[in-house]
Amino acid sequence: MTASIRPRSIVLLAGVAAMAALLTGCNEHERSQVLHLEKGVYKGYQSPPLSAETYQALARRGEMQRVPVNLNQQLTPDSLPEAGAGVVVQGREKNQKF
Amino acid sequence: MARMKFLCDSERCIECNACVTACKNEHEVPWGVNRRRVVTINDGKPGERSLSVACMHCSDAPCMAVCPVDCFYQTADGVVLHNKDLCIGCGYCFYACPFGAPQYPKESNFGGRGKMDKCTFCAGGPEEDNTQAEFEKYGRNRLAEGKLPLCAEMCSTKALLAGDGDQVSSIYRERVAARGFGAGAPGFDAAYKG
Repeated sequence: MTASIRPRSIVLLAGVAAMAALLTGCNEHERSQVLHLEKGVYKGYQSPPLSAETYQALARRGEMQRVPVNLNQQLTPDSLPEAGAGVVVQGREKNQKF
Repeated sequence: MARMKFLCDSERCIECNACVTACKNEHEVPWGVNRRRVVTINDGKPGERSLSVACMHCSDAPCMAVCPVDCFYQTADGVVLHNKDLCIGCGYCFYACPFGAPQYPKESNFGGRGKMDKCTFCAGGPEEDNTQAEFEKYGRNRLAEGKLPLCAEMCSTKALLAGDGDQVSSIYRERVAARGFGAGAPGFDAAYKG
Protein backbone atom coordinates (compact mmCIF):
# COMPACT_ATOMS: atom_id res chain seq x y z
CA MET A 1 0.00 0.00 0.00
CA THR A 2 2.69 2.51 1.02
CA ALA A 3 4.82 1.56 -1.95
CA SER A 4 1.99 2.53 -4.34
CA ILE A 5 1.39 5.93 -2.66
CA ARG A 6 4.99 7.09 -2.47
CA PRO A 7 5.65 7.67 -6.19
CA ARG A 8 2.38 9.56 -6.49
CA SER A 9 3.19 11.82 -3.55
CA ILE A 10 6.66 12.46 -4.91
CA VAL A 11 5.19 13.51 -8.23
CA LEU A 12 2.67 15.69 -6.40
CA LEU A 13 5.37 17.32 -4.31
CA ALA A 14 7.51 17.94 -7.35
CA GLY A 15 4.53 19.49 -9.09
CA VAL A 16 3.81 21.78 -6.16
CA ALA A 17 7.47 22.79 -5.97
CA ALA A 18 7.61 23.54 -9.69
CA MET A 19 4.40 25.58 -9.47
CA ALA A 20 5.75 27.51 -6.48
CA ALA A 21 8.99 28.24 -8.31
CA LEU A 22 7.07 29.49 -11.33
CA LEU A 23 4.78 31.70 -9.27
CA THR A 24 7.49 33.25 -7.12
CA GLY A 25 10.14 33.63 -9.83
CA CYS A 26 10.94 37.03 -11.30
CA ASN A 27 9.59 38.20 -14.63
CA GLU A 28 12.09 38.24 -17.44
CA HIS A 29 12.56 42.03 -17.31
CA GLU A 30 13.12 41.87 -13.56
CA ARG A 31 15.98 39.40 -13.65
CA SER A 32 19.70 40.19 -13.34
CA GLN A 33 19.02 43.51 -11.68
CA VAL A 34 21.43 45.31 -9.39
CA LEU A 35 20.31 44.80 -5.79
CA HIS A 36 23.28 46.10 -3.84
CA LEU A 37 24.17 49.75 -4.41
CA GLU A 38 27.43 51.52 -3.69
CA LYS A 39 27.26 55.30 -3.47
CA GLY A 40 28.71 56.98 -6.54
CA VAL A 41 29.35 53.77 -8.45
CA TYR A 42 27.26 52.76 -11.45
CA LYS A 43 26.89 48.99 -11.37
CA GLY A 44 24.68 48.39 -14.38
CA TYR A 45 25.52 47.31 -17.90
CA GLN A 46 27.48 49.65 -20.18
CA SER A 47 27.67 49.41 -23.94
CA PRO A 48 31.17 48.87 -25.34
CA PRO A 49 33.02 52.00 -26.52
CA LEU A 50 32.72 53.07 -30.15
CA SER A 51 35.19 51.72 -32.66
CA ALA A 52 37.78 53.82 -34.49
CA GLU A 53 35.80 53.46 -37.73
CA THR A 54 32.68 54.82 -36.00
CA TYR A 55 34.66 57.77 -34.69
CA GLN A 56 35.89 58.51 -38.20
CA ALA A 57 32.34 58.33 -39.55
CA LEU A 58 31.17 60.69 -36.81
CA ALA A 59 33.99 63.12 -37.55
CA ARG A 60 33.07 63.10 -41.26
CA ARG A 61 29.45 63.83 -40.42
CA GLY A 62 30.51 66.52 -37.98
CA GLU A 63 32.55 68.20 -40.70
CA MET A 64 29.42 68.42 -42.85
CA GLN A 65 28.06 70.93 -40.34
CA ARG A 66 30.79 73.37 -41.37
CA VAL A 67 28.63 75.10 -43.97
CA PRO A 68 29.97 78.29 -45.58
CA VAL A 69 29.45 81.38 -43.47
CA ASN A 70 27.82 84.11 -45.53
CA LEU A 71 25.44 85.80 -43.12
CA ASN A 72 27.87 88.70 -42.70
CA GLN A 73 28.85 88.92 -46.34
CA GLN A 74 28.56 92.43 -47.74
CA LEU A 75 26.33 91.93 -50.74
CA THR A 76 27.01 94.01 -53.81
CA PRO A 77 25.19 93.81 -57.13
CA ASP A 78 28.20 91.93 -58.53
CA SER A 79 28.21 89.37 -55.73
CA LEU A 80 24.53 88.54 -56.09
CA PRO A 81 23.81 85.20 -57.70
CA GLU A 82 21.75 85.07 -60.84
CA ALA A 83 18.00 85.01 -60.51
CA GLY A 84 16.77 81.58 -59.58
CA ALA A 85 20.19 80.42 -58.45
CA GLY A 86 19.15 80.36 -54.82
CA VAL A 87 17.75 82.39 -51.97
CA VAL A 88 19.77 85.45 -51.00
CA VAL A 89 19.99 86.05 -47.29
CA GLN A 90 20.51 89.70 -46.42
CA GLY A 91 23.48 89.85 -44.08
CA ARG A 92 23.43 91.58 -40.74
CA GLU A 93 25.59 94.66 -40.28
CA LYS A 94 29.00 94.00 -38.89
CA ASN A 95 29.35 94.32 -35.14
CA GLN A 96 25.60 94.71 -34.73
CA LYS A 97 24.63 93.71 -31.20
CA PHE A 98 21.41 93.31 -29.36
CA MET B 1 38.92 60.09 -27.59
CA ALA B 2 36.03 62.33 -28.56
CA ARG B 3 33.94 64.27 -26.11
CA MET B 4 30.44 64.64 -27.51
CA LYS B 5 28.75 68.03 -27.11
CA PHE B 6 25.79 70.04 -28.36
CA LEU B 7 25.98 73.74 -29.15
CA CYS B 8 23.10 75.88 -30.35
CA ASP B 9 24.01 78.99 -32.32
CA SER B 10 21.34 81.47 -31.26
CA GLU B 11 22.18 83.70 -34.24
CA ARG B 12 20.96 80.97 -36.56
CA CYS B 13 18.09 79.31 -34.69
CA ILE B 14 14.80 80.26 -36.35
CA GLU B 15 12.57 78.45 -33.83
CA CYS B 16 11.25 76.03 -36.43
CA ASN B 17 11.08 73.18 -33.89
CA ALA B 18 12.30 70.69 -36.48
CA CYS B 19 14.81 69.36 -33.92
CA VAL B 20 11.98 68.69 -31.46
CA THR B 21 9.92 66.91 -34.07
CA ALA B 22 12.85 64.91 -35.41
CA CYS B 23 13.75 63.72 -31.90
CA LYS B 24 10.23 62.67 -31.03
CA ASN B 25 9.80 60.88 -34.33
CA GLU B 26 13.18 59.14 -34.34
CA HIS B 27 12.92 57.76 -30.83
CA GLU B 28 9.15 57.35 -30.69
CA VAL B 29 9.15 59.40 -27.51
CA PRO B 30 5.89 58.95 -25.56
CA TRP B 31 3.18 61.58 -25.46
CA GLY B 32 3.94 64.35 -22.98
CA VAL B 33 7.71 63.84 -23.00
CA ASN B 34 9.98 66.18 -24.93
CA ARG B 35 13.65 65.33 -24.87
CA ARG B 36 14.40 68.57 -26.70
CA ARG B 37 12.66 71.94 -26.59
CA VAL B 38 13.15 75.30 -28.25
CA VAL B 39 13.27 78.12 -25.71
CA THR B 40 12.70 81.71 -26.84
CA ILE B 41 13.79 84.67 -24.75
CA ASN B 42 12.64 88.27 -25.28
CA ASP B 43 9.83 86.89 -27.40
CA GLY B 44 8.49 89.56 -29.74
CA LYS B 45 10.96 92.16 -28.50
CA PRO B 46 14.24 93.46 -29.90
CA GLY B 47 16.96 90.97 -29.16
CA GLU B 48 14.71 87.94 -29.39
CA ARG B 49 16.73 84.75 -29.30
CA SER B 50 15.80 81.10 -29.60
CA LEU B 51 17.80 78.19 -28.31
CA SER B 52 17.28 74.49 -28.76
CA VAL B 53 17.78 72.91 -25.35
CA ALA B 54 18.12 69.29 -24.26
CA CYS B 55 20.50 67.38 -22.04
CA MET B 56 23.88 69.09 -22.43
CA HIS B 57 25.78 65.96 -21.36
CA CYS B 58 27.64 67.90 -18.68
CA SER B 59 31.19 66.88 -17.90
CA ASP B 60 30.39 66.99 -14.19
CA ALA B 61 26.70 66.21 -14.39
CA PRO B 62 24.57 67.27 -11.38
CA CYS B 63 22.00 64.59 -12.20
CA MET B 64 24.69 61.96 -11.66
CA ALA B 65 25.69 63.55 -8.38
CA VAL B 66 22.21 63.55 -6.86
CA CYS B 67 20.88 60.20 -8.08
CA PRO B 68 20.26 58.06 -4.99
CA VAL B 69 20.48 54.78 -6.89
CA ASP B 70 23.39 55.74 -9.18
CA CYS B 71 21.56 54.93 -12.36
CA PHE B 72 23.63 57.44 -14.38
CA TYR B 73 26.93 56.86 -16.09
CA GLN B 74 29.11 58.63 -18.59
CA THR B 75 30.34 56.81 -21.66
CA ALA B 76 33.90 57.06 -22.92
CA ASP B 77 32.64 59.70 -25.38
CA GLY B 78 31.26 61.91 -22.60
CA VAL B 79 27.61 61.08 -23.20
CA VAL B 80 25.57 60.99 -19.99
CA LEU B 81 23.21 58.02 -20.04
CA HIS B 82 20.98 56.42 -17.45
CA ASN B 83 19.68 52.95 -16.74
CA LYS B 84 15.89 52.75 -16.68
CA ASP B 85 16.02 49.42 -14.88
CA LEU B 86 17.70 51.10 -11.92
CA CYS B 87 15.79 54.39 -12.02
CA ILE B 88 13.18 54.74 -9.29
CA GLY B 89 11.57 57.90 -10.71
CA CYS B 90 12.32 60.00 -7.63
CA GLY B 91 12.78 63.23 -9.60
CA TYR B 92 15.97 64.42 -7.89
CA CYS B 93 17.72 64.70 -11.25
CA PHE B 94 14.92 66.91 -12.51
CA TYR B 95 15.50 69.38 -9.68
CA ALA B 96 19.28 69.22 -10.07
CA CYS B 97 19.40 69.72 -13.84
CA PRO B 98 19.79 73.41 -14.82
CA PHE B 99 18.39 72.69 -18.29
CA GLY B 100 15.22 70.80 -17.32
CA ALA B 101 16.39 67.83 -19.36
CA PRO B 102 14.96 64.92 -17.32
CA GLN B 103 11.36 64.18 -18.26
CA TYR B 104 8.81 61.85 -16.74
CA PRO B 105 5.96 60.11 -18.49
CA LYS B 106 2.60 60.53 -16.78
CA GLU B 107 1.91 57.00 -15.66
CA SER B 108 -1.32 57.38 -13.74
CA ASN B 109 -4.12 59.82 -13.03
CA PHE B 110 -2.75 60.43 -9.55
CA GLY B 111 0.54 61.99 -10.56
CA GLY B 112 2.59 58.82 -10.33
CA ARG B 113 5.91 59.26 -12.09
CA GLY B 114 7.43 56.65 -14.32
CA LYS B 115 11.05 56.09 -15.17
CA MET B 116 12.97 59.20 -16.12
CA ASP B 117 13.54 59.86 -19.80
CA LYS B 118 16.07 62.22 -21.33
CA CYS B 119 18.16 62.95 -24.40
CA THR B 120 20.66 60.17 -25.03
CA PHE B 121 22.69 62.01 -27.69
CA CYS B 122 21.15 59.34 -29.93
CA ALA B 123 23.48 56.84 -28.20
CA GLY B 124 20.80 54.42 -26.98
CA GLY B 125 21.35 53.16 -23.48
CA PRO B 126 22.69 50.36 -21.34
CA GLU B 127 21.44 47.53 -23.52
CA GLU B 128 23.04 45.66 -26.40
CA ASP B 129 23.53 48.12 -29.26
CA ASN B 130 20.71 48.41 -31.78
CA THR B 131 18.46 45.82 -30.15
CA GLN B 132 14.70 46.05 -29.81
CA ALA B 133 15.03 46.34 -26.02
CA GLU B 134 17.35 49.31 -26.40
CA PHE B 135 15.04 51.01 -28.87
CA GLU B 136 11.95 50.53 -26.70
CA LYS B 137 13.61 51.92 -23.58
CA TYR B 138 15.96 54.57 -24.92
CA GLY B 139 15.30 55.09 -28.61
CA ARG B 140 17.58 54.62 -31.57
CA ASN B 141 21.33 54.27 -31.25
CA ARG B 142 22.58 56.41 -34.12
CA LEU B 143 26.01 56.94 -32.62
CA ALA B 144 26.80 53.23 -32.92
CA GLU B 145 25.86 53.52 -36.60
CA GLY B 146 28.36 56.35 -37.07
CA LYS B 147 25.65 59.01 -37.25
CA LEU B 148 25.26 62.19 -35.22
CA PRO B 149 22.07 63.03 -33.29
CA LEU B 150 19.19 63.55 -35.70
CA CYS B 151 18.20 66.92 -34.20
CA ALA B 152 21.53 68.39 -35.30
CA GLU B 153 21.66 66.60 -38.62
CA MET B 154 18.12 67.80 -39.42
CA CYS B 155 18.74 71.44 -38.50
CA SER B 156 18.14 73.42 -41.68
CA THR B 157 20.16 76.47 -40.63
CA LYS B 158 22.82 74.38 -38.91
CA ALA B 159 22.14 76.31 -35.73
CA LEU B 160 22.31 73.17 -33.66
CA LEU B 161 25.74 71.62 -33.79
CA ALA B 162 26.64 68.24 -32.39
CA GLY B 163 29.73 66.11 -32.31
CA ASP B 164 33.17 66.11 -30.85
CA GLY B 165 33.60 69.20 -28.68
CA ASP B 166 36.78 70.26 -30.49
CA GLN B 167 35.09 70.08 -33.86
CA VAL B 168 31.96 71.90 -32.68
CA SER B 169 33.96 74.70 -31.07
CA SER B 170 36.09 75.05 -34.21
CA ILE B 171 32.97 75.46 -36.37
CA TYR B 172 31.46 78.00 -33.98
CA ARG B 173 34.72 79.93 -33.70
CA GLU B 174 34.83 80.30 -37.49
CA ARG B 175 31.30 81.66 -37.49
CA VAL B 176 32.01 84.17 -34.75
CA ALA B 177 35.15 85.33 -36.52
CA ALA B 178 33.22 85.79 -39.78
CA ARG B 179 30.38 87.63 -38.10
CA GLY B 180 32.55 89.87 -36.04
CA PHE B 181 30.42 89.49 -32.95
CA GLY B 182 29.71 86.73 -30.53
CA ALA B 183 26.71 85.26 -28.86
CA GLY B 184 26.09 88.34 -26.74
CA ALA B 185 26.29 86.25 -23.61
CA PRO B 186 27.52 88.05 -20.48
CA GLY B 187 31.29 87.97 -20.35
CA PHE B 188 31.71 87.03 -24.01
CA ASP B 189 33.64 90.19 -24.87
CA ALA B 190 35.94 89.80 -21.91
CA ALA B 191 36.59 86.17 -22.74
CA TYR B 192 37.13 86.40 -26.50
CA LYS B 193 38.12 89.98 -27.36
CA GLY B 194 40.40 90.87 -24.49
